[in-house]
Amino acid sequence: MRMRRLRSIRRHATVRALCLGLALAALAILLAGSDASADSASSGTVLVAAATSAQETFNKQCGACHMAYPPVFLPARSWQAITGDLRHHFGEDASLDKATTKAIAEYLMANAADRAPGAPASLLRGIGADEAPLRITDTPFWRSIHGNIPDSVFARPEVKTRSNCLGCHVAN
Amino acid sequence: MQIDKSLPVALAMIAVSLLSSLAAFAAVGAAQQAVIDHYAAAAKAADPGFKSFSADRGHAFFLAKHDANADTPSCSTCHTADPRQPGQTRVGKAIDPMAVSVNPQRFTDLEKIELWFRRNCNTVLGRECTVLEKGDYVTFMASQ
Repeated sequence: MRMRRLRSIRRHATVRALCLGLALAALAILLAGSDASADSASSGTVLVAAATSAQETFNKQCGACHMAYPPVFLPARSWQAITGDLRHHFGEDASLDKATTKAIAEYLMANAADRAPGAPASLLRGIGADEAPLRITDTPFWRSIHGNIPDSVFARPEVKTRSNCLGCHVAN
Repeated sequence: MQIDKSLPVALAMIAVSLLSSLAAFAAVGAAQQAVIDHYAAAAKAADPGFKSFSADRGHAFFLAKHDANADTPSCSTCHTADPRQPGQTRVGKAIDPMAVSVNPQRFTDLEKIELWFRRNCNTVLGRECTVLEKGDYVTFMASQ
């Protein structure tokens, strides 16, 4: 099933571009993971109250409705804008209490494209310093990889929308 | 004397074990009932004429269409018309069923319930839900 799905996508996009995207996605996940382990290692002691890290909070709260997008795909100013108005979040009220919102905002901004250590410069290519894209799918980086994929692929029931990365990129 | 002392202890142990097995038996829906009781107290405070919540009203509310948001006109837009089935968010993520019979963890955590009522009522209705709407909704889901 997965192979068939990926094969049909390859018909429309170059294999090279897809592989680059997957490699970067894997890199992003690795970056996010290493940051979290560095945080807990540097704190020295493990407190019960600190057992829920900011990343876990982000995964739980934001991941309740959509994939917990790797923060490295947007600059910090984008995450600031998004977390600054969760009451109006792409047509839905996704607001959280102040402390939770702050923890998530800090985590996203610290791991953003312009702040995460080792983040590839290509993630920010074509985004003006005064621009804060609110959708990963609006970034030149995303478009350069997915630009050739026709609307019909995104309209498939198992994909539904460009925002559903895991509709095509099946995680193992 | 020895018997006099141990008899009450033995009786107490039997009573405790009976009570705990009764509690285990009654635990199904107890958490949801506590939530419904919480909303009932609030409804009574707001309207002294309040009698009880209605699963039928909750069902109608669940299916009702509103015009505040074209993408999400109804609770059932994401949860589907059958609360025993899993739903789907607008970006394709699965939502666990709302019906308590297939998902006993539903409506057991008041803080979580209030968070989602606030957000989803604002999204679907363009306003917060009333206590009556919340109580009816939970009563309906607890009956499913």
